[in-house]
Amino acid sequence: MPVVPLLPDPVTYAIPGFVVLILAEMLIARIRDRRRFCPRDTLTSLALGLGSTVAGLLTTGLVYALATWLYQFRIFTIGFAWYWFVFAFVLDDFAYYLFHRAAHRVRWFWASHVIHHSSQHYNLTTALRQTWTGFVSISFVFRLPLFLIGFHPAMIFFVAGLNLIYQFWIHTETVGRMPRWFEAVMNTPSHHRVHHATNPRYLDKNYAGVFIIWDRMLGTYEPERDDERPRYGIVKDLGSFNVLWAAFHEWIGIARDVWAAPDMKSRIGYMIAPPGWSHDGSRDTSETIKARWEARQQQQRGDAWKQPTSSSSVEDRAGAPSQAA
Amino acid sequence: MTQLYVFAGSLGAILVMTLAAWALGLGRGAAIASAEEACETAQGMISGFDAGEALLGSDGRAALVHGKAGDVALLKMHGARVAVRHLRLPLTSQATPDGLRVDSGDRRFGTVLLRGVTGY
Repeated sequence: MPVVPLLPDPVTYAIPGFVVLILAEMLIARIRDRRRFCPRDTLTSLALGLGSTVAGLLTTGLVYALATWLYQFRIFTIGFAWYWFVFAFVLDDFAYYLFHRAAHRVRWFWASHVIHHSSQHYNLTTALRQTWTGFVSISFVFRLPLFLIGFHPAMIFFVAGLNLIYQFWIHTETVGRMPRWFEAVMNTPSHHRVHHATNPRYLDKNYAGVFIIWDRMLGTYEPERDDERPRYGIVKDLGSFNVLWAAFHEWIGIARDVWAAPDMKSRIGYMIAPPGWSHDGSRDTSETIKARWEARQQQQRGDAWKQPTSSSSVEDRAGAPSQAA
Repeated sequence: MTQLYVFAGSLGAILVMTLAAWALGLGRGAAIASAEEACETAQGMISGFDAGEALLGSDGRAALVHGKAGDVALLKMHGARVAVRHLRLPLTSQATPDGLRVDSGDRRFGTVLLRGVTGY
């Protein structure tokens, strides 16, 4: 058993920085575009953030206890040298990618994660709109293999805090694009705007936490286009600032669907199939939305093809992705 | 005890930031600018929706967009953004002195007032 250093919770120390940056972003919004914020949305996001902190206080101890129990079955005993922190940070970020992908593809996880996507705004307060029900959705299972490998729970909880802090600054429209090398490796405001968008092209893309390379490697990367501004929120926006509804609406939806489902297979489907799945196919999943959009794009291209050559060429060029800065 | 301080500090910070957003006038005055914008928004927000004619409230806070498939998009300003519900005809609506009140069928989305509109 390695000597365990006393590691602080980095998120607690970052809170004053969060506040300063949010106030700075508000001042910039006042100058550039006042619609980037709305006081009621801000209040909802921050209240959800505070509720998440309280929920975390109640459940983190249980997860830590589980992690410590699993740690006794570890394959290796990994120490606390600085380079192990680097390894842990990278592996933890991959575990985050897997969790995040599941959180968009499995309704049980989505019910917990949707809270983070429920704002139609995209600013730094959106980053703080975090889940209240992560423990219920057992989203922590994605990090458990790290303890079995041999990373001490204290180290993983520490690097997970750093990961969360990194993700704060990417929730903004204030930053356009970072230098090309940075955009190639790191998750950035541009990449994450795509993730928060409901445009069919952007749906279910860019799951990265810190390193965008996971999306590039695993086929879920989509660049932000200058000719397609992201529309933020969820496919069926809440249309309400009710904090409790934002926190629990999808869980209530699951309960209603499971109750009304005609058979056991449908009941299970309503819990673990992708969001939007229904036993009779009457609802939209991201696949059906994308397929409908692609069919329409093809139809429009076909219509353009029938036009005189010069005009169709112009349209094609207008639709081409622009170069990243 | 430390956690209690963090909680109290966070609560104070929330109030400060919300007041700052309000004092800076953020999100104020946002509206749907035109019937064309209402159509574009409805098509963008509802998968497969083909917009036809649009009715825009005189204050730009709400709009009703008829779809070519006999469906309807009900738009309302939700803070500084537009939220939408996809409805089928006939609508549950009520003509009032202020305009047409349309029931979204969703309790939390609420009833939407199309100011100055008398019918659909």
